[in-house]
Amino acid sequence: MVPFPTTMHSHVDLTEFYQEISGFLAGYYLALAVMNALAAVRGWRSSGATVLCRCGPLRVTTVPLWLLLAALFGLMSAAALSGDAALLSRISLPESAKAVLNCALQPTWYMLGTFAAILLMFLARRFWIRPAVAWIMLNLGFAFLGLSMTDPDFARIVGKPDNVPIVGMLFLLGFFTWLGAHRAVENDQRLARGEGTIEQRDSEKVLVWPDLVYIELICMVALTAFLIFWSLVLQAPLEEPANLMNTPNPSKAPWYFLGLQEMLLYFDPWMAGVVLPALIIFGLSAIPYLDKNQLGNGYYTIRQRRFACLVYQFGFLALWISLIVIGTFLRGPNWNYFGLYETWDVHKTANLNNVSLSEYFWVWLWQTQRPLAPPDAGAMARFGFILLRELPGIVLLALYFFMVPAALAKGTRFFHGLYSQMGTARYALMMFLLLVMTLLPIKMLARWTGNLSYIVSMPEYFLNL
Amino acid sequence: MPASDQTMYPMKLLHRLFALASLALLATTVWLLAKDHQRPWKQYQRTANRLEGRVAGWRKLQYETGEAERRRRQIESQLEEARRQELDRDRLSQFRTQVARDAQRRGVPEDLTGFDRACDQLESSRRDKSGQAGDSSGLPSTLRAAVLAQMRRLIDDARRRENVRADAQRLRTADWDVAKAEVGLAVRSGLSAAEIEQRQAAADKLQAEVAELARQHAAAKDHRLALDTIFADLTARERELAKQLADNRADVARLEGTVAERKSAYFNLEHGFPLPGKKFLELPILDAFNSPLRIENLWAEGLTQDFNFRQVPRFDRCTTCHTAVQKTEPGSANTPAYPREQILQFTLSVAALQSDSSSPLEELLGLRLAEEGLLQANDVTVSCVRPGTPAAQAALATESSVAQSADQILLDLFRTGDDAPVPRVEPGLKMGDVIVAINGQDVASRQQAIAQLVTSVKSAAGERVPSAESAAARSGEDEEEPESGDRESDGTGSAPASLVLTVRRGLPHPFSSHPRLDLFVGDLSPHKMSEFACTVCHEGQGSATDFEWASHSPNDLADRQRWRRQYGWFDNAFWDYPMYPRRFIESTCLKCHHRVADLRPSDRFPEPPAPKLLRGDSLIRTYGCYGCHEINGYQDGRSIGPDLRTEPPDAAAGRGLAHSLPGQLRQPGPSLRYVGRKLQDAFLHDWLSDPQRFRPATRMPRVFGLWNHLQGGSRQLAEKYEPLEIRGIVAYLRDRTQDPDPAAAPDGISDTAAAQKAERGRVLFQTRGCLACHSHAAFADAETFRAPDEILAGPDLSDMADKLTSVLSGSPPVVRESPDPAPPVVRGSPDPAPPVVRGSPDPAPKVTDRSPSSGRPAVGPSGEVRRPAPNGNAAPSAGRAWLVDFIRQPTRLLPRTIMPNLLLEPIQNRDAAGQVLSVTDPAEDIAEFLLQHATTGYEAQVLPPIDRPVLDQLTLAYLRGTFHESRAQQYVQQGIPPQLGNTLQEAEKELIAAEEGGENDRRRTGSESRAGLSVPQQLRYVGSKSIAKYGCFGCHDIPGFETAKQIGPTLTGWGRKDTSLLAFENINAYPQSHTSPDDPATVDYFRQQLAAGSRIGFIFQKLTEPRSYDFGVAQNKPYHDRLRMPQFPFDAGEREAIITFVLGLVAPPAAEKYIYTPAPARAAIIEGQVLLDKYRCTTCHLLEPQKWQLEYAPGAFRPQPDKAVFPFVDHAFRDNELQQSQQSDDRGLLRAALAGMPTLGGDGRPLVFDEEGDELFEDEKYLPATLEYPFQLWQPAALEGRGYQVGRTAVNVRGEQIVARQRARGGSLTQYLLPHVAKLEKSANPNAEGSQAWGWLPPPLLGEGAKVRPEWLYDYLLAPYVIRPASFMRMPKYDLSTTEARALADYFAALDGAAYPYQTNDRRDRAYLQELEQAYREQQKTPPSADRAADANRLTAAMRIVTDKNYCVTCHIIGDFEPRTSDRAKGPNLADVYKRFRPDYVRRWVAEPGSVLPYTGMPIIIPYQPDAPHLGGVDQSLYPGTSLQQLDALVDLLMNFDTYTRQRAPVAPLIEAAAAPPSAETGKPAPKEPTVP
Repeated sequence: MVPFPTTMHSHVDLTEFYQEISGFLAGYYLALAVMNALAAVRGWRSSGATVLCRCGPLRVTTVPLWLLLAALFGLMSAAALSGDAALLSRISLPESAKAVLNCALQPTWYMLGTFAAILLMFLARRFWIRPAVAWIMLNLGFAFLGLSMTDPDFARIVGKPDNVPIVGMLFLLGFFTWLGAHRAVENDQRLARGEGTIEQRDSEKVLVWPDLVYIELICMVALTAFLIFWSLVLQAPLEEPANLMNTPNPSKAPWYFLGLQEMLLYFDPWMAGVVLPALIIFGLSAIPYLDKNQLGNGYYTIRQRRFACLVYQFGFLALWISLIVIGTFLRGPNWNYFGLYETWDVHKTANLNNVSLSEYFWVWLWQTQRPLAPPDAGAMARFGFILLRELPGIVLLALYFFMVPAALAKGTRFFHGLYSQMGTARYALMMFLLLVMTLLPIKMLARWTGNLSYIVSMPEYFLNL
Repeated sequence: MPASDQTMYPMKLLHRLFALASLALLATTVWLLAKDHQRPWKQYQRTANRLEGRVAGWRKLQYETGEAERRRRQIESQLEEARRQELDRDRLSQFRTQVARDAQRRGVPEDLTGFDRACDQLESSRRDKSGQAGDSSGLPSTLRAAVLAQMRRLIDDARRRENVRADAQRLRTADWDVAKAEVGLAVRSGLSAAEIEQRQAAADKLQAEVAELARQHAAAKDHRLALDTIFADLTARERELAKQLADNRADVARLEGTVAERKSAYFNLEHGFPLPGKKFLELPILDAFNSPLRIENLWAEGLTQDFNFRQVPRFDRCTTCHTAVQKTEPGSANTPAYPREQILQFTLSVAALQSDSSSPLEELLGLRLAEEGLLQANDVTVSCVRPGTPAAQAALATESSVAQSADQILLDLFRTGDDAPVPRVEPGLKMGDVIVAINGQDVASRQQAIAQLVTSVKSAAGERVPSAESAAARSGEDEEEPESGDRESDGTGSAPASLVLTVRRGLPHPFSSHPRLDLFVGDLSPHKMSEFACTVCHEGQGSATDFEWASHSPNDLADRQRWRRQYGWFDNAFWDYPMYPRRFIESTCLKCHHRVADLRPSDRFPEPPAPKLLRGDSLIRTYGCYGCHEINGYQDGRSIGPDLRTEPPDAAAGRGLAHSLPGQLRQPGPSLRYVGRKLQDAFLHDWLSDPQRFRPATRMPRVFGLWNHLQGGSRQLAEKYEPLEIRGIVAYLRDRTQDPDPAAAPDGISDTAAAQKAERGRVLFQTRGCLACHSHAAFADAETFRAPDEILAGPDLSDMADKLTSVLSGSPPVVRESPDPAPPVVRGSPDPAPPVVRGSPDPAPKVTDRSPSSGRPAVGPSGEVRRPAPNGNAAPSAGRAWLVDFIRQPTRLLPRTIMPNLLLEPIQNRDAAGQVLSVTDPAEDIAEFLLQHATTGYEAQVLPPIDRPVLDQLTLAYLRGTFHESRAQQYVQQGIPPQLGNTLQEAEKELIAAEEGGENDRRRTGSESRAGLSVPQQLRYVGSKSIAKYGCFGCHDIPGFETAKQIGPTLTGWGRKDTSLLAFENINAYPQSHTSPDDPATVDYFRQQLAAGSRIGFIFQKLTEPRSYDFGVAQNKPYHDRLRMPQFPFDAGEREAIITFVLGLVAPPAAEKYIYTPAPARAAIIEGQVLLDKYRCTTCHLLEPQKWQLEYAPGAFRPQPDKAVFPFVDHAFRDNELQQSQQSDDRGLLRAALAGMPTLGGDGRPLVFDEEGDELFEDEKYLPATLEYPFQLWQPAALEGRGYQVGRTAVNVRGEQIVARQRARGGSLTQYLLPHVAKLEKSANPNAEGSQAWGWLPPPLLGEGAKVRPEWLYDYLLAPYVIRPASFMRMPKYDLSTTEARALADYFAALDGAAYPYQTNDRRDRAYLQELEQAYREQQKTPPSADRAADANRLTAAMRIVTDKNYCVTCHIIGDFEPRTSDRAKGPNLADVYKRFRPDYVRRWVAEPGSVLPYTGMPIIIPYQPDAPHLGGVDQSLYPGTSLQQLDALVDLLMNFDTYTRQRAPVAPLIEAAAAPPSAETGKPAPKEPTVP
């Protein structure tokens, strides 16, 4: 892999950068071209390729489309190989698109966009589980990556030896999400038609040898080969000797903890570091006891478990994964937010004057001083004053945790059904967990849009929410 | 589900997948192994191995073709001859007798028949031989060998017998030991006396036996030794030759061994059958077992690197690839075996060849071309050069010399040459040279090269090449391309007389050796590889074995590009210590060499070890970077780097600091304490705005007007404020100017016209040493004598008149009150939005007005310009007064000035009769000269008017820093209330509002002020703030800022400063407007470094455009927070030198034990050199003479005529010294190095003769190589095996013999003055001899330490007095501290290896004197004095020599006596000799003055004639005795002059006289001087 500029101040020499990236890009596009050509061949040979449209007797299948894509990627590969700045700029994302993307990746939009995408994925699942669509999406994803790699800032972030596996993981994640959805939708369709699920159809016992062990052996061999290959082409991501006086900027946790690190921005350390993770674990282990839905056991389905699917995808994709993506790709020096195409400049400064809810309420809305205990007040009186001060937040939280479940159970048919199905205790527990989960994005959005630091802020008792 | 054979997945597919996966695993594994096998370092080691083997093979070839082979054959034949040598019959019979006698002694008959028979046969054959006359082929070797074999047999017998005896003795001795022990046991056990007795008897018996056996053994040994000796005598020559032969063979064997060892093959066929070779061990997996290719680790103990958490030992693997880094050329300790690649051009003279031979190159040129090149196979590489052939004698092509004018040649003799000897390329082609081009034509292949060479040689030799065919036939193997050769000979038409070969010598990295093995890496160097390894100097990641991970740093962009292409190099920001690029490699010397001066060229390392670093050091010292930036060399009392700190304002106070040493350096700029007395406001103002406008060569940096980086509003602000800041500084300085007591002018000065004064001043300026530190347009010729990069201590004084006496022209300054619609002078637009809204419509009662209607035009509105001194402008005459005062006594007012006191005492001009004609004051004369000099047309600019609102804004801007905005606004308008006075800082006190009626304040604020603050008040405030802001006090002594803190960031440790702490700001967006005349490649390199965010780039830009980092930032900063570093007038080289120095400041340094701590003598020398530089001693004093390297044909120099001198005078040459001078090189030329100076002619210029032997004519041009230069040796030299002594005839050197001339160290001013003082003296005294001009100038200090006594030198340095009246110049009085004086005295002693600080003076020893006195008396008694009764006292007799009018007193001053000669002929006072000199020196000096100082005018007083009676000497009537005795007596007298005269000045009579009535006062004591006989 090409070594990318690593220093903070370094000013990238574009010609040099193009020279370095061109070889990689040429190979990358060539691989894409081959991939599409193989898809075309496969489509041609299997004659089961998706039909796009029919012109009389002629059926236009996806094969020419894949061929076209292969040709296009082949051309891009050649262009990339030249290393010429003008040609490379042709196969780059236009600056305007980069600007739009940088803007769209601002946290608020990014967060809301993720929610919308999840919802859209859910609603339009029948469309995108189709292989042809998925193949086009995969191509788009790869093309996006390739077109962006000509941007030094993007390349620096994505090409860091640390981040390369995370990029790969995102593609893997996409694939498995697709696979799950694909099978679920198919099962749903089969169930609607009255046929059994795929799993039921295939529920045969298989032989340990060769069906299990042989495949494991093959996987083992292939993975070993892959790991050796990886170690040969990508140098271990070693950095400078650690220095207490001069820590790396940004200092990032391992990728799987980046979600937690992000949460630390919005909650008190003990909240983000202890309570919430504990709740996550507790919640995950509580699911079997909360779930009264008998359907969907042992096979993929969405229709039969819509709520469970949505909540899980929301928690996993929209919160956990997207927080990791934020932490990996969008957080730069001083833990500032940087767009994908934005230079990591240490001098970028963010407004960090956050205001707690009590201040909003008392000072801004009420136009008065926040309640403050007189100097000679006793401990209890002090506590009373603090409670008084934080009353708006406490009331708000109380409303959120008590009123919302009640209102939902009363007001919506679905939750009412759930309530009657689960009983009060289970329902309350589930709602609590759900609300805690949704509190996270709410809090994040409130921070980004309204500079809200804490809803309840009692630093006197190390309690900040 | 029942079991079935049905599998879930198609097996075929799985098999295929498995096959694919397995293949992939195989492929990646193979790839893994291949990648490891092809690791770059392995490739380098393989190449290096191959290369080493090949070079060894060539060396063997060279060896065989060379002298060695001839020598071997010679030895072999000699050995053969020796084997047939006669055997001495006497020795043979001796041998026989010895054997027989021994046999007799033993009583056993020895079998001598064999021996006798062999002898007889030999004898008979010898007899036969002698019958045949003329046959001298010696003995038949077989017979001789038979005799020797017999002898060897007998000797072996004898040895065997000896061994038997020895064994017997040993056994018996053991028995005896047992017996002795038995006796002891018996005594201990208390056995009976009888028993003891018995045992003792047994022991005694054994002892006797042992003694007998020992005797026998000794006899046998003696016998054997006798035989051995005879045998050895007979075969001595054989054995010696055999040993030589073995040595010779061992050399070849060693080379063969190297070839074999380096050979890396799978099979070794050398022993006839294939043995497995070493290459197997290089194969993957097998290489785990003792592979010949391996990673080398160098451990440097104690030199750790900082890994933040702990200090980690370094282990460097650099030598894994740089395998040859330590290799020296065979037979040399320091010459690198593989130098860095360089292209050389050689000229081979082939004209004299008879080219009749058929084997071409080796016969014609003496070189052989290798089949294959070293690195590239098709390189045309020389594999061997035969000595004595044209190839071996090839001369390095040089530019042909150009005819030069006589003046130029004479000047060049003193000033040109290199400061240090340049490493010279030895003449002659060498093995390993790659021929790149022949006669300018590129060479492609070996065949072509051979053809080309042959044809060129032949055509060069004048032989036409008839046709291609014959040429091909002749050149043997080179038929392929005869055309090219033909074209060559045709193309050149007239054949060149010589052949020009362009040759590439050396190897590229990593195969080359370290270029400075004398200093680094080598086993004899001070930095051995085993102790220091590599990265402690070079930095970089030593443990890396790949190019890109070792953090190599490119030296320029070309390197960078090449590396990126070739090695995939990248800038690894994760390694904290990248290698230093080559251009800054000297930086690292600073880590351990904190004194810097210890890096100067020395006798041991004449090639300068770190010239760039030294330059950087001197630049930082002279430009005074340390004024603003702290460069502290100590941390907790430990030395961590070079120490460049200003001395504390009060030096004595600094000494009180117990824990930290005070700074040592003086402020680089002049003191401004009295600046108001000499300079006018207009000049100061102009100077501050742009110092270079008045004096282009000034060292003062430009502080104001650096606006390139500013744009829009921020630029307007600068344009608006800066003029006022300048005005403020001027006002402040004027206000604080101190008024010193006027100096007393000397009395009795004769009145002379100004022109006369100026003329005298001109001569004084030239000859009193002003030019040592100053330059002047009137003496432009002096500049050529200075070193090209010399930085003068003092300014150019050409335009002192302009500076000191120019009168302000133009209108008085005006104060503008409001934003004027038509601004008159102030540049920039009328400020669009003045930040200060002044009192809105309030028409404040402004007292100052600019209208002429005020009716007081005489007094300037601000009252500052026309005010009389000190608070106003200095009157023009004040400047002159200041100048005279300062020249006369610089340190009177400014004790820390670097200008010394020149001791300009009034000069009495006398006529021939000694009557005083006039008295002149040199100080005044020099001042007159300086001020009279024609003006350069400089005129100070008119002071711009003061814009009052702007001044208010500026005041406010500064006040904001101290007070709240509204308070600040109020103060600007009304001043600060006086009652706040105590709470204010110094600067703000300027703004205290005038109290009603307060007398003091009225003076300070000026009479004309509006209600609140006056303009001068505000100006002074602004000035004070500006001085504090710009840090003027860093370089200048400014009243009120004595204890101010340095304004710049510290540079201690800057070389390691974290780059994230450097404020690069928007520098990469800054359009680099700086167009420099620098090398564009260099600029590009630095720009790249800047873009990459490195320290190097940062400091480069900081030095180039110091404030450019404010680009795009200034508009958001308060005005007083803007960058303020001034711009220094550095050129590219200076910048790089400074960067080199600063990058080397990497505190904390390496481990303590590695920090360079010289031996005491060396430390004294280093300290002394620093002081010599500080006080610029070397401008006047010559410290080392010129050194000429000569190459000459034998017989070029005549031997020096013999001269009788005292036996101890001549230098005794060592044998090897003489032998070395006789060794000729391959060209038959001899080498010599001479130290001395060119002989001076009558006009004080060097003597040079042209080919006819005439002196040069002024207007003609000569070729320097054809001239003859009489060279006066100042140090003995060996030429052609003869010793040449100092002080005899000059050595006539011809121009073409000179290879290199090294400039004299020091004395540039003296050398410049030589012809000038000669001319000057001749105008006064036509008989003066210019060749003695050295004696009229500051003395060269060669051997000063061996000459003078350190304690005298110490005294003299602190209080110099006139020693030699002959000198035009006087030693000035420097403001030396006692430590410095001591250090200098030690320096000279250490330099000459003389004893210090303790020394003995035997000649003042009383016993010694008495003994000689006694001897002298005895001598006088025994042969009754013939002529006259000799004095009984030896010293009195010696005194007669002194006082004889033919000798000493003709020239020397003695005590109160002064000879009546011109000053130039006067010698130093002899009464002081005992204080000044070491006795040995005086003895040598009196004996033969010329051998000490070859230029001296002192004659030989006591001639030495070995043949004459009394060995020559002075007349016996003066001192009876031999010349040696006379000499010693004279020396003793001089060394005891004080005691001698004291004895003759009794004090007792004085006391008696004092006790007598007062009338006796007139009685004078007895005359000190004994009367002249």
